[in-house]
Formats: sequence, structure tokens, C-alpha cells
Amino acid sequence: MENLLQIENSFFNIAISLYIASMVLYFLFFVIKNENHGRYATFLIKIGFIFHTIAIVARGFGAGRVPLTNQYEFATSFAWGIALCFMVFEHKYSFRAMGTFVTPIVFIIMGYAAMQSKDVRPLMPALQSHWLTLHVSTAVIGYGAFGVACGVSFMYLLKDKFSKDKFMEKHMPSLERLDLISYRAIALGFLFLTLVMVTGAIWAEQAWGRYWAWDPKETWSFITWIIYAIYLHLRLTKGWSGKRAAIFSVIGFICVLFTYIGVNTLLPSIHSYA
Amino acid sequence: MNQDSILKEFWKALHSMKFGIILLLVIGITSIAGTVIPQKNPLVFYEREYSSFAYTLITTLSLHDVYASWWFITMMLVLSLNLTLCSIIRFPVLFKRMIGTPQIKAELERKSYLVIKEYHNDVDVKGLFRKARFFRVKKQETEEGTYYFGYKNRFGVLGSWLTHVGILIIILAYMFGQVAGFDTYIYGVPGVTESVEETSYEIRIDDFDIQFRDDHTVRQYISKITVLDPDTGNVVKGGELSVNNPFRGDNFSIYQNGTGWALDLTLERNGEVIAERILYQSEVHVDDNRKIALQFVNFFPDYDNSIGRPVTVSPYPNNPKLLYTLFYDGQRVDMNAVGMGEKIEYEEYTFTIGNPRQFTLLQIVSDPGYRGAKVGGLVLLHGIMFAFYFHPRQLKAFKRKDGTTVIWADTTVDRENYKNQIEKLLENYLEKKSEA
Ligand code: HEM
Repeated sequence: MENLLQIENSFFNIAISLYIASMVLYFLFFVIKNENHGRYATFLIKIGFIFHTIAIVARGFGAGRVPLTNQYEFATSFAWGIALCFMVFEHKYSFRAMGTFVTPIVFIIMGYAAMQSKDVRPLMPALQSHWLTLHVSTAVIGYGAFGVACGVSFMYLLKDKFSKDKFMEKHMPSLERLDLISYRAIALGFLFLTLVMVTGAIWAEQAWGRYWAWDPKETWSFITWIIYAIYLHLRLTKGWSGKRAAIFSVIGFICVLFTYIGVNTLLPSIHSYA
Repeated sequence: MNQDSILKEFWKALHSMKFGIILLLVIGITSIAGTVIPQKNPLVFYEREYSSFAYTLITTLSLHDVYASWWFITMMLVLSLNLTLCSIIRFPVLFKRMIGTPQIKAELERKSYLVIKEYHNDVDVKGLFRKARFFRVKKQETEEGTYYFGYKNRFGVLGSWLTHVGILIIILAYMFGQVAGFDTYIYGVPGVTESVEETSYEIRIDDFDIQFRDDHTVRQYISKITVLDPDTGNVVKGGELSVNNPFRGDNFSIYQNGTGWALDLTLERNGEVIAERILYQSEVHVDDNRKIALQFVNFFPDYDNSIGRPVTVSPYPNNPKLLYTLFYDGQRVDMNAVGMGEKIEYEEYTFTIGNPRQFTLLQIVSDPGYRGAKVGGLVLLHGIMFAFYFHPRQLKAFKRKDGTTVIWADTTVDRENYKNQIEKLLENYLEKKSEA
């Protein structure tokens, strides 16, 4: 058991190092446009992801439960979710430059995880629920997809702002394509965010006798959900799509981060167990 | 603008998507208020904590209870109205689009197409449809030839509609639950029977158990209860409940909410017993025309005072002590920790305490909207799935009697992708085949 937790610790550190290396290479790839850098970056993030996965699994066995119950565990899984969604989208849309904008997000969240306490504490009764497991694992995927969308929408805004820049023109896909990719990521994220809220409501009903009580964490996930709903509708509205939608995609991810980090540290909530 | 057209504009705005978006944005922004201002405290709290201007703002706008305020509920109702109108108006259009077969005549005279190709050789239309994974194909014979119409993922047309209806169901079910439900608490030690406010039932607490792990953290709280009908004395239903496993009654559920300590208390005046009761944590026993009172301040099951302040070493009652405050004639006269069986004496009064045990705090909730909200959630999830992952696709062909064939395709979403897909298919399947 102790051994497993030591393994998780080392593998977590290896993963974070590989992610940093990958981030630097993606950056070089984007700036000096060397295909090789891009290829190595993709390779490194995959290796990092494998180490990261093993670390999380080892923690699960080491702690004897699903490793999704406190700030550290959720932060590391959150970064894992973004890395996973990124690899899927990068592969699907064969679009490397995305890494330059998404790996920093992975890195920041890994860094946040590294600052959290890694103690394995026993679960209080309210947290012992399969609905909680579902609730958090859907959040990992949903938030991961939103992270990818945020990176891509950021590229959209950059490209839109520097539309005359030769460099941007050459190294970035068209605005339409960026818009399409962020839309596909948000569609996935929105489906999963809705699942997060539905499973969370079912769990809350069983644990606390109410499925929705406007607790700050609930309210902020509601706000996040609304922001992405607005994004989805802006895309369908003549004259409001494109740049406006991209801005909402970035705001949406800020809300995601606030729901996850800000609410626990800045606002009172029954969710802030950790 | 005359009055008629103002009304018309207003009506149009009321069911428009733009109005819906603005409403959503305002709801999103204003609901932040309830997360930064502590909610549902007594008004004196806000008077003390905020400036007088902020306090006035809080009371006029009900910012101490944002989500039950008139303006928030109004916005939710207007959003519901907006969604209802747009759903009613869109449904016939969408439904027609979902089940309809476009007329061949109109199709051939269209101005623009997503993809269209004409072939002069013999085309294997059936094979093409199969290859494109259209398995149910309608066939219409006309004077000039045969019209093939393939449609898949038709249900995707209703995706956004179902999404909106799901949201509507949730909002209405939630509001109904808030109005028609109730929420109350009972507490007691095993053996106690309590009547439940707002219902005609009584609940008997049969047993209460707290399971600990080796490190003294709590694994689970388990209450055993029986629901009784006080008129007949009959058992309605009995069972067990624990955190995350509520007890389900016919129209209410019971949740394990909390716990605390309770003691047996005896009060004597000049050696004569004047009261015997169970005293629960944080209760006060007031007696003899308010002359004497004892407050249950805190309880230490495994008392230790070696670090200068009272703590408990374990959760087990190895050395139980009660921390109490004593009032006499309205004045606080004593505060101390006593062991079980020890006496607390003051003037003519003597309290004796003993038999420490833990009580269970149960929450009894009736939410008749919950089932509806669950249905709404299910509809919502299906709607989102249909909207995003079931793209309706049409593939059409017209085989003329003169041997030529026209093939064209349509979709409302993800158009570029589908266009590429069909173009590739035509190229690979029809054109390569004819070369071969
Ligand atoms: C919380 C509220 C809402 C949510 C979560 C929501 C969700 C959605 C979703 C997921 C779609 C499909 C988008 C896509 O295919 O990309 C959609 C489409 C649509 N929404 Fe909403 N919606 C909401 C409120 C509203 C409101 C208030 C209106 C105003 C009438 C509205 C009008 C529409 C319309 C007209 C479409 C269809 C667009 C089309 O298919 O061309 N929605 N909505």
C-alpha cells in the first residue's frame, strides 16, 4: 500500500516533467515551425499520459478506493482529462498547433495538483457513493473537453486579431476550422457537464435530501452550463457567431476553473470537504 | 410604429432565440449574487455585516435569498414562457422535417444543393445507399422515372427541441416541489417515538449505530426506524437508513442527517424528584418556573484535560463527561464538566446525569417534484445527445427512364463533413466502379 503510493508519487513527477517538456516542444514547434519538434511533443505527451494514468491507478489501489474524492485527486484527474481529450482531438483533426495552447492548461492544473496535500484520508460517509464516482468521472471528461475548447478558441481569437499576420496565416487552420473544432469539443463537454449535474443531483438527493439547493458549487456549475448554452446559441445566431462565441468559450472555461478552485477557496459551500 | 406592430414585435421577441440568450445571460450573471452574499441568514446578520446602503439593497431585492426572490423567479418564469412558446412554434416545423418526404418535383427544381451529381451510365442506386449506410429507402415511381429517398438519424431533428422540453420539465417540476413539498426534522435516541410535522405519521427510532474505522473516523451512521400510524397504532413500514441510503416512504423520504449525545437527567428539589427526561446536546432544561436551568454545552466521551483544554481521546464513552452551564434565577452561576452519576448541586436543586448514548437526527423530506425533475433530466440528456451526435442525413436519387441518374444529398448540421463524405463515396463507389 505504501509502495503503491510511492509509485504514484514518482510517476506523477515523471508525468509532470514530460508534460513540461512537451509544452516547451509544442511552443518551439509553433514558433520555429519545425515539424520534428511537433512530433516529439506529441510523443512526449503520450508517454507522460501513460505515466500519469499509472500514477492515478496506483493511487486508487493504494488508497483502496476510487481516487476522485479530494482536491488533489480531482486536480490530477482533471489534468488527465484535458490531456486525454487533447490527444483525441489532435488525432481526430490532425492539428498539432493546438498543443501549444492546450498543454499550458494541462501544466497549470498539474501544478495546482502538485501543490495540494497528497494525504490519503478515509472517506466521510456522504462521499461513499457510486453516484459520486460517476459525478466526478463525468466531470473529468467534460472539463477536459472544455479545456481543449478553451485552447482552440483562444487560437481563434488570436488569429482573428492578427488576421494580417503572415505567421498566423501559415501556421494556424482557418477560422472556420478552429470554430468547428471548439464547437465539437464544447458539444462533448456540454453533454458531460449535463451528466455531471444530473448525477450530482441524484447523489445530493440521496446524501442530503435535496437534489438542487443553490449551494455555491451548484450555482457555479449552473452558471458554467448557461455560459456554454449561450455559446451554442450564439453559433446559431446570424451576426453573433464567430468571435463572440469564441469569447464565451474562454469565459466558460474560466467559470469551470472557478467552479472547481474558486468556490472551494473563496466561497462557503458544503462541497468544500477537501 | 403603430400599436399593432409594437405588439407584433413584442410577441416576436418573446419567443425569439435572441431574447432567450439575453435572458440566460442575465440569469447567469445575477445568480452570482447568491454565491457571494451568504444566503438565508436572519436579517440582523446583514444589518451587522453590511453598510446601511447595502443592507437596504439586500432587503429590497431579497439578496439574502436570491433564488426565492420575486425577480429571480420572474426571470425563470419568463424563460419558461420563452422556451414554451418557441417549442410550440417550432414543433410542427420540426415534425414535418422529421417525417416528411420532399416532393420530387420541388427537389429537382431547387436553386442550390449541398452535393449533386449526374451520371449517364447505369448506376447501382441500391448498392450506393447501402454503402452509405442508408438502410430504409423509400421508392416512388413517377412517369419520368424512380425516386429514391433515404433518411437516417431522423430523430436528431428533434434534439434541440427535446433539450428545451427537458429543461422546461425540470424548471416546472422544481417549482412544483418547492411549493408542494415539505422538509422537517426529528431526533431521538433508540426507543423514542416522535410525530412528524406535516404528516399524520409517527416515527419510532428502534436502533442507532455508528460504525468506526480503526483510526476513529466514522464509516457509517445507521438508524433503524418504524413508521407508525398513530390512529390505529399499526406499523406502516419499517427499515434501515444510513448516509447515502435514505428510507423511502410512500410520499416522503427519510435521510440520516446528523448525530449528537444525549443523557438521562434527573432533577431533585430538596430531595424530591421534580423532573426526569432525556437531555439532548445543546438543549436546555428549564424548570420550576424558570428558576433553575441546565444547558447541555458539550460532551466528551473520552475526556482528557491534560493539554489545558478539554478534548476527547476517542469516540468511545470510556471516560464520559458533560460540559454544562447552570442558571439560577436567570443568572449564570456555574460551568463545569461532570462525570456520569455525579451530582450537580446548587441551593435546593440537584441534577443527576447518566446513561450517555448517541441520538440520531433524521431529515424528513417530501418533494413531489423530484420524479418529474428526473424525467426532465432524462429527456434533456437524450435531447443533447440527439442534437450533437445524431445528425439527420438525407440521400436522394432519381433514376430517369432515359438511363441517366441524379444523386444529391442534404443535411442541416455538420454540412461540410457530410458533403465531403458523400463526394468521396460517389467518387470511390460509382466512378471507380464504372471505370472498372
Ligand atoms: C438553459 C437553456 C438552454 C439550453 C441548455 C439550450 C440548449 C440547446 C441546444 C443544446 C441546442 C442545439 C445546439 C446545436 O445543435 O448546436 C439548442 C438549440 C436551439 N435553442 Fe436552445 N437551449 C436553451 C435555451 C433556449 C432558449 C431560451 C431559446 C429561446 C427560444 C432557445 C432556442 C433554441 C433554438 C431556436 C435552437 C435551434 C437551433 C437550430 O437547430 O437551428 N434555447 N438549444
